[in-house]
Amino acid sequence: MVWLNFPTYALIIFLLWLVGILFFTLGFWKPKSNVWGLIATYAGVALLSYFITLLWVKLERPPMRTLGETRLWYSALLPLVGAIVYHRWKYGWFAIFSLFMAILFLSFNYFKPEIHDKALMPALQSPWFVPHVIVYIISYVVLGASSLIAVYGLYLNYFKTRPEMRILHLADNLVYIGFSFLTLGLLFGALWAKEAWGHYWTWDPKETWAFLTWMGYLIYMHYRYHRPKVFMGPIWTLSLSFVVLLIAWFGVNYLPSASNSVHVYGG
Amino acid sequence: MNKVKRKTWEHPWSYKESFVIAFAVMLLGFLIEFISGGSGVSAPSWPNNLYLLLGILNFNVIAYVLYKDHPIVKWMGRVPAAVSAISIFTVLILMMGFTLQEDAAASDLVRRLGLSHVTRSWPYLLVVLYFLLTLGFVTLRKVLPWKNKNIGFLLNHLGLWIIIVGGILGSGDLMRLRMSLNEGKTTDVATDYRGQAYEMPFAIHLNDFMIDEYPPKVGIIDKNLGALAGEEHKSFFEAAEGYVGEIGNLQFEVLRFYPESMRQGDVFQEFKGEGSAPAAEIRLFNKQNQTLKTGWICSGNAFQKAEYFDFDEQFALMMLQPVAKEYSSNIKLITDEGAEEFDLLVNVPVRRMGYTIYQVGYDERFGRHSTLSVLEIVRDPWLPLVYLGIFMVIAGSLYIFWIGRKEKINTENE
Repeated sequence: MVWLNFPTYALIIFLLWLVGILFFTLGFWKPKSNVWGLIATYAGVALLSYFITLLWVKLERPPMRTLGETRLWYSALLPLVGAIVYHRWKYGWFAIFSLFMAILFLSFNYFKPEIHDKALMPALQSPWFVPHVIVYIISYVVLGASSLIAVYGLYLNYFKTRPEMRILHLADNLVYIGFSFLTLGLLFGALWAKEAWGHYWTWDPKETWAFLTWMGYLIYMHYRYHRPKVFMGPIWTLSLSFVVLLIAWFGVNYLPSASNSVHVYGG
Repeated sequence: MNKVKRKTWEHPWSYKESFVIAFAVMLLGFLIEFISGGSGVSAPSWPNNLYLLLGILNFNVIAYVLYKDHPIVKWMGRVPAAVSAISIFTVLILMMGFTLQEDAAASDLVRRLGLSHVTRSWPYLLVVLYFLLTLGFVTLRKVLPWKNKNIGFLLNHLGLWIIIVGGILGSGDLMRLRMSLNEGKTTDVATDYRGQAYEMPFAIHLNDFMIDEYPPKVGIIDKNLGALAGEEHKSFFEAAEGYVGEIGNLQFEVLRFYPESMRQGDVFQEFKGEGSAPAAEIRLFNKQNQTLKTGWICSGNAFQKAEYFDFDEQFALMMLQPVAKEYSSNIKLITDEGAEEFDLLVNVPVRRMGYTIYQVGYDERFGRHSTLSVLEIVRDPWLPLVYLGIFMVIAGSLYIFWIGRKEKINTENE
């Protein structure tokens, strides 16, 4: 079982990313050290990707079924998004945040290991499975990153009383990317459902909440377009949308309306 | 901004008016639903849904062409109305997200307000109409006159409009039926979720139902705890022949595994036929008390009883029920023109005579010995329209991803 040597991989990745955080922090004074931060970040991402590949081969199916498995992807993609945003916008703080988040998600798996179930029910054995889950994970990662900006915006407003419109432009970029992936996830799910369950949309609780998430970001995008100079409205919309996203992601399993969902999975 | 402050309800309307109107639309829906006793609205079927589609379309286009400059038409095609429509739709679906749908035990108030059947209710219908009208007006505004740079906008907005219209109006013509087949029998009757039977224009004969299973899992039971030993999720291993492993103080080896077997005296023998169940012979060694024993376990089924391996004072082994990996039906489809035989697999539906036929289930109590196969038969003539919308929005999403938020930001009060 590959899962048994996960702690070794995890510890090395933790170490790499902690070094990354250190260098990005030094980067506030010495911008050159950010390069080392990036190298450490990429090294960790590469190692985690290697582990995910091993797990995939070992399980003979994509490791995307349980929440624990999706957390592995989340941990690998989050620092990658952090690094890409750094390349484009030079936000060191964002890279640090994303590394912290990734370490947090990985430690859930470290402290609460689970046997990775090999069985995949017949309806999930579909060519739609991988694209459906991957686009959702990327979307959740990017939108998760935009929620960090919302938190920063709330902090600026209530503790610094000095809104920075600049950060909303970064949020816009993230929301546009995350929203496009969210749309693809919803629609791939619809096309898949038509092949597997007979109808493209059945208001399954997971679908309902994914749709609500989509609507939340839709409000953000329209409001930003119409009132580009307002700061707190978009910040609050962004925060609330992320709360809905979290419910869609793992809260649905606990809702009374979810008793018949096809999306309830363990982990 | 150095403008005179606009009074509420003075044109151009903005967020305040939009939200009041959106909220009123939803309340009106709840009121109608309540007065009508919570019976909901049924989606119109052919050809009334087509008339409704043309009605909405004509209303949108004619109102836009003739009254483009009317303040209400202008308001309907702008962001505040759109945001109010998205928001009120979200609020309604949010209520739905917290309420179990189609629940027979729903309270009287919930039922009378339509909250137990949101997607068949008056508030849903009116809110969606409001949503569609704003979407329609804004699309017309961006499309007439046409500019190439609005292609992304058109794909997303018109695509969404088509999906919603096609999905909701199409639901009146949607047939989702179940057909239960028994091996060696022929049937041409399928039933809907209410149990109403429909005669199909074809008959289906089930030749054989086939199932492929994963090797079952073996669980270690701690008899003192009366539960699975070890940490949660860590007390299972797979009954694959030759598998060697260690959990806690226990070392185990799977000596033999038969996916289909029958008990013969003290041992299990491979047996492919009626009543067979998976069984495995396991060697177990407890490092703590140096006990070494070999024993058989069997998951059991409706024909054979399950077999446990009672190892020592503390531990016992059991085999879990195998999980289906793939199942399919070999069927003969008989129509007036003739007959054809094929395998029907999960996730691989077959389309014939305007119907789509899916493999959906079997009798799980009997597992691989099930002689019952359940098919789903779907007729959805509006599907091509919905797919058109879906592919437009997929293209639109790729556009958004590629272009991002490049356009110049709109001025404060467009």
